[in-house]
Amino acid sequence: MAEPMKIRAQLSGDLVAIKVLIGHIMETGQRKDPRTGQLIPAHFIKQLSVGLNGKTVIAAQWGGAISKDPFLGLKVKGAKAGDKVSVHWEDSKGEKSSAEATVG
Amino acid sequence: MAGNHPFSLRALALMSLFAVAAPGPAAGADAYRETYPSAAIDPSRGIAGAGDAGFGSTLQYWQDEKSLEHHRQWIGDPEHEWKLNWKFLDFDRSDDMHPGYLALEAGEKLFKLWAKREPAFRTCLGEGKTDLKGLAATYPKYDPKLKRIMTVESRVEHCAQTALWETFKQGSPANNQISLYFKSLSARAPIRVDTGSAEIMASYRRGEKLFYAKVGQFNFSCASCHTSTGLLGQRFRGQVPTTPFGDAAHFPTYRLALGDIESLQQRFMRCNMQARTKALPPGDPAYTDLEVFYTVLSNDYPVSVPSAR
Ligand code: HEC
Repeated sequence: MAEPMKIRAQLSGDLVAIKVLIGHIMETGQRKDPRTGQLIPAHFIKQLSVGLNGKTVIAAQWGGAISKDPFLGLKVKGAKAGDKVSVHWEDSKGEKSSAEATVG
Repeated sequence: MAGNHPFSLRALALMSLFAVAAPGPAAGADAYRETYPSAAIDPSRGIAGAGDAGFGSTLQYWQDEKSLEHHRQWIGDPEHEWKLNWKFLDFDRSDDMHPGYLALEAGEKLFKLWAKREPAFRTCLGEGKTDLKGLAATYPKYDPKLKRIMTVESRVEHCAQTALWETFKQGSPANNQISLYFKSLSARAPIRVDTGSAEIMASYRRGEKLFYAKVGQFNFSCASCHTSTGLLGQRFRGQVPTTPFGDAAHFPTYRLALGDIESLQQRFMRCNMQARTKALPPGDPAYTDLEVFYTVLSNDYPVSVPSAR
């Protein structure tokens, strides 16, 4: 829930390089607990979106194949210093997280 | 040819299995061990020994940022990448966007929580001091009061026990997180294990012996993979073993393959298991000796924690 999320948004010209590092367990639901033999319940990010000044620039549907603590990188044209980058995700348990950073 | 005698071949395989299994339990702790031919190491030279042919002569490629920059075209090149000893992963410090930093944040939070609840936890880690900066770069070290060699992880375990009455066993998530935070407070400080200490050197010599001792189902020593007469620089199971010099600097590390923090001794466990040897628990005296040996081979190299591998 209160998982850490790190965002960097670095401008060169009018191109902003956005990097997002998300702390998330990303449990696939396919693994068994070696001690109990029971499946470990799935828990992964399903929806993720990145916005620039409130306008969605990428909307992703993720699944259990994405690694633990995922890293996402993208470049967006037409940005300027001071713009707001926002990242939002929602996972398979309905937990949500949002974070913001300023383009610089 | 072989296909014609499936039965006898299987019988042979079974027999050899028995031959291996029989002396196992009876042999006990003093089992006869073969020793891998050792390459001479002068412990006073620290990482400089990585320049020697017996250990791949790779020091010149990774000793500092300039050398790494100079050979950056090797990154991703399967022929040459191993020569960089993966140190190029440490020098990508332009931003803090690898998951080692997530591990660090978790460790800092946990440490501060406990240190606030019980300030003695901090002073125990600091051996009386409250400022922990630079201290972890001198580990492992001999503690004259406790009369034993302390690693960062065993110090954290000890202080949790005495100051918090908590059990942060070595290798547990809590111990790994706090150890990683403690070591990060020495980031960029050169490693300085005291090779003038008689206790440290006795431990170093035991660790050195273990490094060359052949063990396990494959009868492999650490040196079988991590020296030039062995597999150092050779492709092996899709990986290329690198020099043991400089390794201690980035531990505890965030191991991407595990999605978790890995301490140096947990790496020893993984190497043991990969060579089909029964791993020891973290904190075992034999692993402490190996850690002393390994960290002396990182002397003068800067601590680079947090890191991701
Ligand atoms: C079967 C071959 C093999 C044996 C035996 C082996 N290792 Fe390794 N070891 C590897 C490989 C492959 C790697 C990953 C590549 C690298 O970084 O060297 C590795 C990595 C390591 C690392 C981490 C290096 C880093 O930069 O993060 C350490 C530390 C290590 N080994 C120590 C040991 C010790 C101590 C022993 C003996 C107990 C040992 N190894 C035995 C193959 C082996």
